Amino acid sequence: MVPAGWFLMDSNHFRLKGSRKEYKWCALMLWTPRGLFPVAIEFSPVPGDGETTIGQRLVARALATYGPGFLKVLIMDAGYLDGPWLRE
Amino acid sequence: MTNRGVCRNATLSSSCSIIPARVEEALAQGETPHFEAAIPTWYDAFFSLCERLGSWPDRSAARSALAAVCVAAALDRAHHVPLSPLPPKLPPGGGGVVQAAGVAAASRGARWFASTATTARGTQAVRRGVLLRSVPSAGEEALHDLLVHTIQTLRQENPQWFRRAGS
Repeated sequence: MVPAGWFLMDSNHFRLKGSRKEYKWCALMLWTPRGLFPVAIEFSPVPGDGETTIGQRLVARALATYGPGFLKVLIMDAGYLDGPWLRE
Repeated sequence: MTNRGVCRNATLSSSCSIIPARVEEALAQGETPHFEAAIPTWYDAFFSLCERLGSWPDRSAARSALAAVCVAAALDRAHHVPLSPLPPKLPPGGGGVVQAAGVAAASRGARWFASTATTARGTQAVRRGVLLRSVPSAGEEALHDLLVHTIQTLRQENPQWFRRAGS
């Protein structure tokens, strides 16, 4: 069975070549049979906002753009967990 | 073209060298070619944008092109594959826009982008550094607009990907 309406949220840090300055990208991605497609991405400096804050912004942006019910299943790691937010 | 010759973890440029041999092999074995519409990818979005814009060095358009490169960079990182969003040979009209993107980026401090992107002679490490150096100057809104456009296209062409199974 091919998952439909499944999304995955993850992030990673990167550093520019020849620089000590660190950045982070966080992406909300659609899971398709052809791979992951980014739905919303945010680049931010490190140190800066944490995954919980950025993750909520990305989800809010996706829902505002595509409407409620767009995200059927959201897979993410514990870094994004926030109890009150999940109940909204 | 069927998906038989496509390696999931291959970059665009490596796929271009793999696919023809696989197709020739399949044809030699008597398989019938089957053609289907390609699913748009970020590479397609980027190079379609380049083709549509031609060589017009419009600064605002260049920002969008640069954003597409950043998406490709992020996507490559997400897939844990070597970063290679720029094939050795750019499509007609693409070089100008990439160069324009580089000029726009250069004005914000990413000075090597144009020469590396248009000649595509840089090493993977250099390209990664150049592209990621361009990220902060790409513009969040240009990036968001590109994402929305592409997701809406995907949604129209592949609605089954957006439905819950059984609904």
